[in-house]
Amino acid sequence: MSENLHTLAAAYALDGLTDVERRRFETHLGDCDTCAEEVRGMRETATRLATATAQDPPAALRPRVLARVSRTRQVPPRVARPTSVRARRAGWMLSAACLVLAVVLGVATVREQRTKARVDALNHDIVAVMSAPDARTVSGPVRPGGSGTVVASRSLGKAVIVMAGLPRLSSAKTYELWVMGPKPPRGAGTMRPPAKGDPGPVLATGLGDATQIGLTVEPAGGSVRPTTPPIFTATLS
Amino acid sequence: MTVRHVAASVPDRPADSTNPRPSPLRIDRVDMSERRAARSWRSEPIGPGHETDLGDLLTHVARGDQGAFERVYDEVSGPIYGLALRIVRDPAQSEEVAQEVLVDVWRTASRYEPGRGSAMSWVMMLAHRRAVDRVRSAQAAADREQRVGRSAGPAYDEVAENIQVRLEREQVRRCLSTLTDTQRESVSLAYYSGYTYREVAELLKVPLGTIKTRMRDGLIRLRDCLGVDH
Repeated sequence: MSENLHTLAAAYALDGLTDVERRRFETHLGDCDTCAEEVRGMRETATRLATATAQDPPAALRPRVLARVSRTRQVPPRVARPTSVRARRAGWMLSAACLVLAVVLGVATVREQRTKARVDALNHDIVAVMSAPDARTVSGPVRPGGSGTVVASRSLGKAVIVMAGLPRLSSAKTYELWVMGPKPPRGAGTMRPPAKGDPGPVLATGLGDATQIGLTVEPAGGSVRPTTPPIFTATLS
Repeated sequence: MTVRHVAASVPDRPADSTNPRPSPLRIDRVDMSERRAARSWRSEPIGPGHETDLGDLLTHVARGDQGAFERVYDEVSGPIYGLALRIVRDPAQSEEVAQEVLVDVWRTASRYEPGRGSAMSWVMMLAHRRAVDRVRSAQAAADREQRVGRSAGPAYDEVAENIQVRLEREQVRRCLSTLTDTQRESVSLAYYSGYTYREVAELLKVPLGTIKTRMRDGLIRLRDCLGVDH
């Protein structure tokens, strides 16, 4: 991931990233001294592109700005705070992200039929959900055994769902995920635990005003509507 | 002779930023305000000269010193307005952007972190983002289409206020000319037209990875040509 971000140094220095990308990149910069050094040189270069355009502004601007300034309150400096709840949650989010990525990479090596491009695309979507400012994580047990974790972003309308330790099913059945809420439940994908390890993560999109993610056991191939009670639900905030 | 040699032979760089005497190249009719601006607009991010001063001034501004802010204004208003004009094009809107940026400098001076870059580069980052926000939010797509054709570099037909600004422009232009056409196009579309790298890729119909590489290679070449310390 960091190698991916690293290639964005020039685009960052040229201010050519979207806000979300920029925030991610700046987080990365905080942990990467060599990147910070390189970005510094690139930003100074971009600054030269800027100062080369210098032109006298209209004379009337000066008094106007000075008048405005005399009426404008300044912001206090940033101070280093003890680890806040938010930072702790960020830490937890990060470990959840690592968990999910580990699962994805595991899937990539185990299931050869999943092409690299598809895994990359999924990775990309998962990272986007994980790094969304409004991402929330809900974890809970699955009734017959195992546990589930849902990371959801309202702004993206997407959720990443990871199940661990699910009991194996007969070939006539499958697990199916549902997006639930005011509207009738909508299937978000089926999953079967592989012979060894856990199923890969599922990306649910178009959350809209959904309130819950649920898991049921369905006939192989999945159902149009849930036919059994959910064995796991995660309530979206 | 390489282009770089030409750039290096211009007798205006480091020595001048620490030399208070007027350069022999300075033309006679430059008045004091222009001379002040000329010193200010010398972009020497690495030297111990005025950049340190600008950083120091920001420290005072952060403590509410309005006198220090007036000096900051004189240092940075030209580059801010010039960049806004370059990106936004419309003079009235550019002036609004410049005003917003200058008030931002006052408001957020305490957030400037010297460890992350020069004071000028912090100010120009604020300016670039404001100008791009203005372009992205307010201007119609058609308006932007028109600008693309003119985004190859700073506009040289505009009146050069003084010899040093002109030399700085010439150097940047020379260095831009050492880039390949595709590198220059990508760098200019991002910086002077305010496009994201994704938009640049879409516009030029090339893969994202290619654009990232062009921007990277172009910026590194530009950095080395301009002699920016890194």
